[in-house]
Amino acid sequence: MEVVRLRKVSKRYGRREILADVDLQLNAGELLALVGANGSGKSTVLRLMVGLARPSAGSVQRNADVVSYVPDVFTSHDRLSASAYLRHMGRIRGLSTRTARDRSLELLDRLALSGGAETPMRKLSKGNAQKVALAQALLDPPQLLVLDEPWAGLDATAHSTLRELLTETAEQGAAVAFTEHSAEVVRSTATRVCELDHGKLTSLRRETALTELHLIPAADIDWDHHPDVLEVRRTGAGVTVLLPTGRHDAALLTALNHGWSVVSVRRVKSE
Amino acid sequence: MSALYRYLLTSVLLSQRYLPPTLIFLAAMAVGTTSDNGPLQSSYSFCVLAMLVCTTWLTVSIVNHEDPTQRKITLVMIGSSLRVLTMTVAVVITWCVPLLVIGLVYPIVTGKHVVTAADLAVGAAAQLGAAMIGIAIGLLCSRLVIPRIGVAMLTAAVAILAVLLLRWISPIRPIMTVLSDEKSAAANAVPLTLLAALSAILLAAAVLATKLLADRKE
Repeated sequence: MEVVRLRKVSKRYGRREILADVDLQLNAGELLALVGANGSGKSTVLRLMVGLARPSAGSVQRNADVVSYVPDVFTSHDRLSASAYLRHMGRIRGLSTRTARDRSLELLDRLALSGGAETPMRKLSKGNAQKVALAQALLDPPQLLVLDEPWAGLDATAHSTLRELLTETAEQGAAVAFTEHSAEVVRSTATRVCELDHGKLTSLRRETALTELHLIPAADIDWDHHPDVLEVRRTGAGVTVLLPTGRHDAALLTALNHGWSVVSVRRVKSE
Repeated sequence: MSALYRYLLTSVLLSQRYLPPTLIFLAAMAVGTTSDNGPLQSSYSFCVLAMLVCTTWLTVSIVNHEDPTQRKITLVMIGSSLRVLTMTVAVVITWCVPLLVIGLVYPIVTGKHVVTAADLAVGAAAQLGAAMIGIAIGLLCSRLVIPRIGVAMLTAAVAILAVLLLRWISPIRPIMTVLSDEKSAAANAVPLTLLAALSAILLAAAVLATKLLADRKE
C-alpha cells in the first residue's frame, strides 16, 4: 500500500532551489534510507513527507492517519520529566493515561535511558534526549514514521535497539523513512536506499562502492564498532576491513596512527 | 485537543515565563489604582492599559517558549497548525482569567468606590477586549511571524502605541474613551460589549494571519 507519494516535487527557499522534480513513493512495510551529502535536500524531503513543508511545485500525497516525526536535533528546555513528557505526548496521540505511561516506560527501558525516566528533559544529554525523541515517535504504532538522522548521539546499545525498533515498526506495516550518513547503518537497516544529490533524486541503490583495506595490526583498534566499517575479517596475522569508498581515508589514517601496516588498499565491487 | 491544551499549559506553568508580565501587571495595578477614590470606570480604564501590555508580553513569551523542534513534533502529531495555535491562544486566555479577576477586584479593595454589578460587567468587558487585542498583537509579534526578538519587541511596542493613540485601528482607544466618559456603567455596557466582540473578531483574524504567515515560511 502506498503511504506517501511525491510527484514532480520541487522546493525553493527564495531563489535557492532545494529540490528539483523529485518523484518518490514510499510503501507500507518499507524502510527507506535517504542518503546524500549535507545540504542535498534529505531533510526537506522528510519535512515534505510529514507536511511540515509545502512543495513549491508538484504534489505530496499522504495516506496515513498516525504520522510520527523525529527531527534532526531534539534539545528540549522543558522542565517536565522524560516520563511526564512522554505521557503528555501519548495523551495527545489519543492513548489512555495508563497506556501512555506503560508504553513510554517500556520504550525508555528498551532504549536504556540513563539517569531514569524522571530526569527533567532539560537535564538530559544529547543522546538521552534523542532516546526520548525516538520514544515519542513510537508511542502509538505509526503508519508513517519519518526520522532525520535518528542514530546521531546514540550509544552502541541504543544504536542496535533503534535498528530493531525500526525493523519491527516496518514489519507491523508502517512506512519508515530516515536519513543517515553511516553506510553500515543504511546497509543493515534499509530495504531501499535513495540518494539525493543537490536536490535531485539521482539513483536508487543498495550500496555505494566499497574499499577493502588489508592491514597488519599493532596497537588495539576496535574496528567492529567503527561507524564506517561494514565488515571485519581476521586472517592469520592480518585484518581485512571493508568500508564505503570515500570513507576509507579516515580509517586508513586511524590505522597508521596506531602503528598498523597497510598491505593493500583496493576497490571492490558493490552489491 | 484537551490533551494538547493540558501539555501546553503544564509546560508554560513549569517554565515560569508568565511571571514577568504578571508581576508587571500587579505592579501597574498597585501604582495606578491603589487608594483611587474617583469613578470605578476610570480605574478600569487604567486596568485596560495594563492588561493590553501584559497580554502582549505574555503571548510573545508563551508562543516563543515552545521549542521549535518540539513545535514540529506537535504539528506532525496534530496535523494542523491552526489547531495548535488555537490551543496556544487558549492557554494564554486561561492565564488572563486570574489577571482579569485581579483587575476587577483590586481597584475595589484598595480604593473607595460605589460598586454595582454593571460596573463589574463593564470592567470585565473592557479588560477582556484589551486582553484579546493584546493577544492578537502578541501573536503577530511572536517568533512564528517575526523571528528576530529585537525587531519583534520594537514592533510590539509600536503596535501598542498605535492602538492606544489611533482611534480607528482597534477597539482599545474607543474602550478607554467610553470608560472615561461621565455616563453610567449601565449605559456603557452595550458599547463595551460590542467593542469586546469586535476584539474577539480581530483576535480570530490575528490567529488566521499568524497561521498563514508561519506556514508560508515552510
